[in-house]
Amino acid sequence: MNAEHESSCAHDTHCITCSDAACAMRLLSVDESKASGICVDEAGQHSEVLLGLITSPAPGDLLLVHAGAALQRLGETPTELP
Amino acid sequence: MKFVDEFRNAELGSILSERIAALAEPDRHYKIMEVCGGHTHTIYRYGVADLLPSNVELVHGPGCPVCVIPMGRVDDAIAIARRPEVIFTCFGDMMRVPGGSGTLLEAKAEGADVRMVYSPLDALRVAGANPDRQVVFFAVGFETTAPSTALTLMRAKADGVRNFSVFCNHVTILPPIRALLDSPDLRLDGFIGPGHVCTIVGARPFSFIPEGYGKPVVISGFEPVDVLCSVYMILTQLAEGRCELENQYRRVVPHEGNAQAFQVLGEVFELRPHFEWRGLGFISQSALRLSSRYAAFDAEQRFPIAGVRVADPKACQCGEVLKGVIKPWECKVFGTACTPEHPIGTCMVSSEGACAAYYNFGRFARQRPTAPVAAQ
Repeated sequence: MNAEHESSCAHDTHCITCSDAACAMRLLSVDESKASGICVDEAGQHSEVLLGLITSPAPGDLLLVHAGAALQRLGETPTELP
Repeated sequence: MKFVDEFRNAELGSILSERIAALAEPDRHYKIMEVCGGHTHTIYRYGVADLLPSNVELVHGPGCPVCVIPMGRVDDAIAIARRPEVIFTCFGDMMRVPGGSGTLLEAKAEGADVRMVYSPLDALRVAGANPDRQVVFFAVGFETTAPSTALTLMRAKADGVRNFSVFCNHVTILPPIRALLDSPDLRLDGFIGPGHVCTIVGARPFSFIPEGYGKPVVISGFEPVDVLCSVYMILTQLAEGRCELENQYRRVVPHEGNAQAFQVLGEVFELRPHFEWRGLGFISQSALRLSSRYAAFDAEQRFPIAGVRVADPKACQCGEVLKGVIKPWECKVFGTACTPEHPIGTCMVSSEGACAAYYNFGRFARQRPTAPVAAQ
């Protein structure tokens, strides 16, 4: 896999086209007029993310982002394992 | 990284591996399908299959959107891309998917203006920077990706953008699962459900699998411990005689879907009566097209589309791989005529495709013994 096919937020070689490749990003600022915000990923890369699916997004939120859109606000409690 | 490191923990993986081995009845063969290409990728990348007993088999399903695009749609995309007024934008992997007359990458080499983007919003930015060109976005993906396309189109409409359109090939995950379950040549014991699709649709729609078909389903995350945990949960259900929908990925997936996403998707898209899936044929109401409210942004209305059906190459067995009937390495052309550098079938293109994932990460592991020692 060459670099051309890697997502800007991918920490491995997941295909961005895939329905299920998504990554966690921290919301830094919100532009309500555009229904978007600036997010930063684990590697420190900033990008504009569409926030139309998130209720009352606020700076500091940890978001699950896929293909430039935030899908879900991530909670802070990991799943317990069996 | 939070939510990543703990789910790649080798010690947890070993514990789960031992518990799975202890649960699996030695005289029974278990077949569990992971629906999503993201899971397939994780399974091969992290050697998850090597941590399972030899009688617990993971079958790779049709959940890679690149892999299910029929060749005729790729040819239609190339025809649009070759138009002199068009800048054609798509995700990287789609550039390498072979149609009946080559790939988008080859069309680019021959002069078509094809550009890779990371998101539909990137494509809209290309339109803003090139007001005298028609910018088309090749929209592919399941319910996880469709909202991004929808939100981008809503912005384009609000901003009055006139040189942007979408060639829509978004698909939905539940109809092909139902088609697989109705297939007589498939025997499965359970399903690992697609976690991120469920952030949009919720876990609840997958309840038809246990309720209608008597198969356990566990919605799963994408780290190796997530997948092992989901296998353990399915085997636990089988051992206890239960058949339920369970959610291993509760840290992300709610039981009900995202109401805002449903509203956005309903505004921008409508269901197509039929759509062709590579290897699975035509499936009713399994794909999206733009609604009449967004007809001005529909590339299929803006440009002439031939819509010709193209048969898969005879040597290609992607269809059987997508249905889990054969393993990637059982395809006649796997690793010889068909490689990631020169793919014949779509399953070898995307890193989420079962063939590419296996080729990149799994083909040497098959030489090693796979069954861990059962925990006592």
